[in-house]
Amino acid sequence: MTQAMRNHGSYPPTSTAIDLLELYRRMRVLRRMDEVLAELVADKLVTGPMHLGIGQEATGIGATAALRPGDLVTATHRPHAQYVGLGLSLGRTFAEMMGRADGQCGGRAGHMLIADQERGLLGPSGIVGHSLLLAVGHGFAQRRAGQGAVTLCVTGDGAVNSGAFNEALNMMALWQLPVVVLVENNGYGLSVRLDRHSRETELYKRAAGYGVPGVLVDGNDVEAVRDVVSAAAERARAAQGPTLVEALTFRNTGFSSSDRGGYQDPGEGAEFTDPLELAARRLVAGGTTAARLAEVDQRAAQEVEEAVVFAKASPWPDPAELFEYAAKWDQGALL
Amino acid sequence: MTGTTTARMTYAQALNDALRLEMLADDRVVVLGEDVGRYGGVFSVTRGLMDEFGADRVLDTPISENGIVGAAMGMAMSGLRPVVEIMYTDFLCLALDSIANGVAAFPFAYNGQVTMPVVVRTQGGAGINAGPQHSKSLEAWTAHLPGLHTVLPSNPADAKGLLTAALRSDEPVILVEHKLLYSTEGEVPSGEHLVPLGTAQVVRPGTDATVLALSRMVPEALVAAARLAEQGLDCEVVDVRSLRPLDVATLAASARRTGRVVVAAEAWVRYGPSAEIAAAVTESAFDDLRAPVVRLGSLGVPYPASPALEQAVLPDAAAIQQAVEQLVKRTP
Repeated sequence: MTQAMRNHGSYPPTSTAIDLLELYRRMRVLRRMDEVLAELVADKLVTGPMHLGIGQEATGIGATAALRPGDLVTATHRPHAQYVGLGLSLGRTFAEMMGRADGQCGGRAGHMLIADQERGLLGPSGIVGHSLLLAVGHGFAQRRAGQGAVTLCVTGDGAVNSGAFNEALNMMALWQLPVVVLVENNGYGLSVRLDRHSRETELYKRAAGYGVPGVLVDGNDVEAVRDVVSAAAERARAAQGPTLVEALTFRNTGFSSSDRGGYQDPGEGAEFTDPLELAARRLVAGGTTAARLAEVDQRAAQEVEEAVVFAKASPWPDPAELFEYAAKWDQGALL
Repeated sequence: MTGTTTARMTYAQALNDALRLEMLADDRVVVLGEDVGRYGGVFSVTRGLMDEFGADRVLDTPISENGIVGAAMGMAMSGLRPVVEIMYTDFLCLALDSIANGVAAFPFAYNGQVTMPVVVRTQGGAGINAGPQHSKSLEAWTAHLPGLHTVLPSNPADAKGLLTAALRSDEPVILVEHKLLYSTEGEVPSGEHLVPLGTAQVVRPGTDATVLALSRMVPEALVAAARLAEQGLDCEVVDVRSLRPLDVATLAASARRTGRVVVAAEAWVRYGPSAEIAAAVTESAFDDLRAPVVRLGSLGVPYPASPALEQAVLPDAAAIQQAVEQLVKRTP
């Protein structure tokens, strides 16, 4: 492993091992996590803004399933699918969201900024567009290292209108970086529907303006997302440069925990395809029994419950570390 | 850590020397920015580096300031050691999102899971009639952010030493160069030369008054001190060098020795670096001060392009001399 690759190491199983039932299990854990988080927010055990991804499970779970050990991932302010898809410790993830000492980042980061170096998550950002900028840097480091690693850059439909999108896509294309840009098109940027914040609503078409392939995929079909991202990742590994993937999905929840609603037309989302139901139907059609699915659901709920118990038992972090940090930046004597 | 031989070179050449030596020593160091490659940098600081190290180590970027610093942030998190050139400090405004929300924040937020060995070299200051969008001194903006070092070399040796220290640091450093200093010459240690980040330096000892000077105001303060010496006033000049961390101990020790302090920085006076320096020195040396700390800086207007107007805005040796004379007069 070169020095350029030192920031990431071991990784969960590779995509070949991930079948639909495992994808379904991950989506179920993620759904349960977000359902429980809504309760924890209501109970004030999780404070601060909370961005749930109910309805969008297939995009993040499908995309992360396409990765290999050594790949890197960036994410947005709605990053829970990456946490579950990359196999972060659920207990430590909940602890971070509660601001506890056992959190992935010691309670400094909150729910939006959980990095996990060991699993390649470097990292999410609460600033719209940041994931694209980070991916340029990651992709450049990977291209230089020349070991076939790729960066999965998750961004949203809101970010395509940021300056960062243009700056990053141009550099990724110019330098033929091994990046897969996954635009999670959930239909809304904050409270503003896609057709009210973007004249051209077929976002994958933007790829042509940068000289890279653009692919549209059903973002509620977890297998389709996995396969499309796998193909784009293979392209990147073969030094053929970046791909822009638009995954069409639906944000079946508010923008954040402070969302007052009232901006959606009546009946909007009525045709929403629940990615878990779609996967369940397909599994049953393929011979998986209802009992088997119920067992997966039950285990997912139990796993989440145990994680919450762990997090609740975790102590508050010691503010002393903050005084040390401040001293480092304010007192030259400590340098 | 410093070689015994020196060579005479300009501030720009000293910066180039630092980059070249570190690129030779560590292949993780990459240089990126507008015009830095084939052209060699508009101030010639990166001249020859692309020829020597190739286009994969020295990247000509699109005009995308936030993208350049954002990319550097990602490179650093992936194990590289990027050095960014932002042509004018004024354009740093475009990259402040990446700097404030990313570079300064991620190592803290991720609790040490990532390091951020990013160096942003930028060039500030007035004096070439470059007008309101190419002349500012915005170092207070980055110095305000915990998580970043902000340093301002005032001479060729420090330019090499501070840049080398910045390149060796695992923490992000904003290095603010001055457009009028690039062609100034001085003796620069050959080979490895480091100036520790966060250290001020007494560049002229004295007993009657202290001038705490930053960047181009250091040579101006030395000119003022020489003129004051002709009047029998012995003026100490301290090069602040690092805005964050601020070497309060060195600054306050000088204040205690002389009891009279003038802070000379080119930035606008209000809410600028001189305010922080004056406050820090006052907190630490109040009992030994004979009068309130005096601040000098640019007049509070956007920088005008006309040579006649620009000179009226900027502090200089004469202003420093006058400030010291008045301070001494008030405190016999």
